[in-house]
Amino acid sequence: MLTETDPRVTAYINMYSVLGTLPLLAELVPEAKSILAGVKHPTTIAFRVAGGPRESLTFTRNDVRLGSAPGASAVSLAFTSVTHFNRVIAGTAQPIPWGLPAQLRFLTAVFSPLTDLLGRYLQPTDEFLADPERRETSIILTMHVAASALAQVANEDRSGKFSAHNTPDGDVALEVTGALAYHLRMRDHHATFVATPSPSPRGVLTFSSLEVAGGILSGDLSAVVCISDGRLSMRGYIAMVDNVNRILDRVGHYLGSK
Amino acid sequence: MTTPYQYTNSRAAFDRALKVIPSGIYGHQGPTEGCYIPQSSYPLFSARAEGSRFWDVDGNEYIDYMCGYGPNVLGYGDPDVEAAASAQRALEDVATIPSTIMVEFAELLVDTVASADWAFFAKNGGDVTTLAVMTARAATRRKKIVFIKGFYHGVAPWTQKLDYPGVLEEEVANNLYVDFNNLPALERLLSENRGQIAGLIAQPYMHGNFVDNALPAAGYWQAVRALCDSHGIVLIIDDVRAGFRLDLAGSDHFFGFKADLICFCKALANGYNVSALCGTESLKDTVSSLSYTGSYWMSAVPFAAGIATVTKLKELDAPAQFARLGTELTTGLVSAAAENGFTLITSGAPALFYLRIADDDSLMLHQEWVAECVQRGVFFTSHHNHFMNAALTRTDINHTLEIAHEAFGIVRARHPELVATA
Repeated sequence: MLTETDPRVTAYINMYSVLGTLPLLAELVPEAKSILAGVKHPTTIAFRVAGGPRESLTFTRNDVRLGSAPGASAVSLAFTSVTHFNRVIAGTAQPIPWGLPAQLRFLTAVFSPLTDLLGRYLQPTDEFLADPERRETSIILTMHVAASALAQVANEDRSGKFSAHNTPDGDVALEVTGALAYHLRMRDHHATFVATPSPSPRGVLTFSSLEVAGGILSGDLSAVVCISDGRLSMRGYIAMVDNVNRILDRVGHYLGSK
Repeated sequence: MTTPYQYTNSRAAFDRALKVIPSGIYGHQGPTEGCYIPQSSYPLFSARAEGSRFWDVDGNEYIDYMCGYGPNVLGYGDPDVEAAASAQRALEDVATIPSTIMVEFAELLVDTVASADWAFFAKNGGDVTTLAVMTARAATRRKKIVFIKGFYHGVAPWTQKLDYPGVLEEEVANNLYVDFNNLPALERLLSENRGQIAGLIAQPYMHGNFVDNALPAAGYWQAVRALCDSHGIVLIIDDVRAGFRLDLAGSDHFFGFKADLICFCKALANGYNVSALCGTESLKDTVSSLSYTGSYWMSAVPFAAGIATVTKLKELDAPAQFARLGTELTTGLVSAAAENGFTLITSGAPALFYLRIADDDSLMLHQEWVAECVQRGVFFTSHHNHFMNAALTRTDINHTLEIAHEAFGIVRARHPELVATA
């Protein structure tokens, strides 16, 4: 057990798991669709984090996608370090934008409102969650962040890489009964998060509800306790599930409230 | 067709347990680490045990191939062991100074175990694997320990890994890992860490969980012994799991080599709580120098039970019986699987057989089959080696095979999509 977290890993989680959930936000939340309706021309934001991830997000009138798109307008956001990037995502610092004035306006008109909206769903107030529909969406988005963080931790974190090194090839399904199904694909000890059901999982973790899934994946609930009391069940190649549970435990260090 | 068991009372007791015990039942005898898949197919609490069987709190009866995860070697409540324990209990158990029965038990182990010149007693297997590693470090004044991948040596922090909760990086920083049966890799590892390795700790063969168990290749242990000698490394055999089931003289003796230190626990006293580290004369003074003791480590009743157990195991030539009945059982299980179109792989020694249905790589079919067996009165597990005991009869084996056959048939009928492989 490592007692410290690594800001570089946090940066990867912020890029691929937090900002990587913007496409799902755009798909699920009507307010996000309204914001995107203001996109006049497809625009790609390139994130350049010194010592960290380099990735792009493309915004159109209909959706948000990871990666760049040919013909899209381009805006670059530079970050002097992973710590700088993490502080920007936490809302305590500003990025260094690079682009034409019209494209920079895209940041304030589209990107910032979308990330603010995502923040309201990922760090909701009790008042916000009083609406059942918003509550469910909040849990789905939180679960997406946490499940995709599994791959980032498995590939970038020292403890996560140790666990991944002990994990054989195959898919581990992450299912919420009657609600959704993702999977983590392991190949040569490298993890990929896939937001669809696995056609042939080698191991399965089935959460009894979205609340349980969100709680475990964000480190607020113990997987072992939930397996014991039946809120989480496992089957298949348990040596694989066991190592994924260890990565899950480490994800909790990054995302948990403790 | 037999009727699957119900577990109403087990569930009720478990619900009570969840309120006052972390995870209800923690560790390998609980539903999580015990891999009860699905949990609803397994009993959670037992009410009594006798011979080769236990009965759960719902009154369901099981032929038990886990034997308390090893301690039940003669049969639950063996009358000779119980008589010896009762006689000692009438005299004393835990007192301020030890009973001389401790000396008698040590003398018996020195006479029985080929590599033993002395015996040091504790309670659990982990107590003595930890003592063995401390001894190796004290004797060599080196830090590093070589582990064989797939190992289990208890739950002390040094036996765990970097990614285990509550275990500090510093506690596993001197652990080196190598594959079983891979001599070139071991030679390389020892050369790369020349002069830094205190000990090599290994089970006598690879009986890791979730994987087919592997016996040593011809000449493997003799080569490991020679490498340890040339590098000044203490060779520690963790015989906690296999001890007294393969060979009463120790599993190192069974495989034709001599350990420097050998750890015993499970089968040592037929369920009475005692473990032992035995070793060579050259390490006796080192062990004496260590600060290592416990409140109950010299309790006399388990020593009496241990003497009775080892004596009876000798009288029965129990390892031969385990090998014979274990082979009959595993051969029958493979046939029962084949008759239902499944390929069942059995591995490890017959006395500690490991099972795996090889028709899918997720083990889900295997978990289904084991669950059906358990619900019909044969307690197998899906992830761990099993244990034979001396109370098992040929009638038990035949009944087990009937249940196993029925369970294979149920799984086959549930999966018409599967192509038969056998």
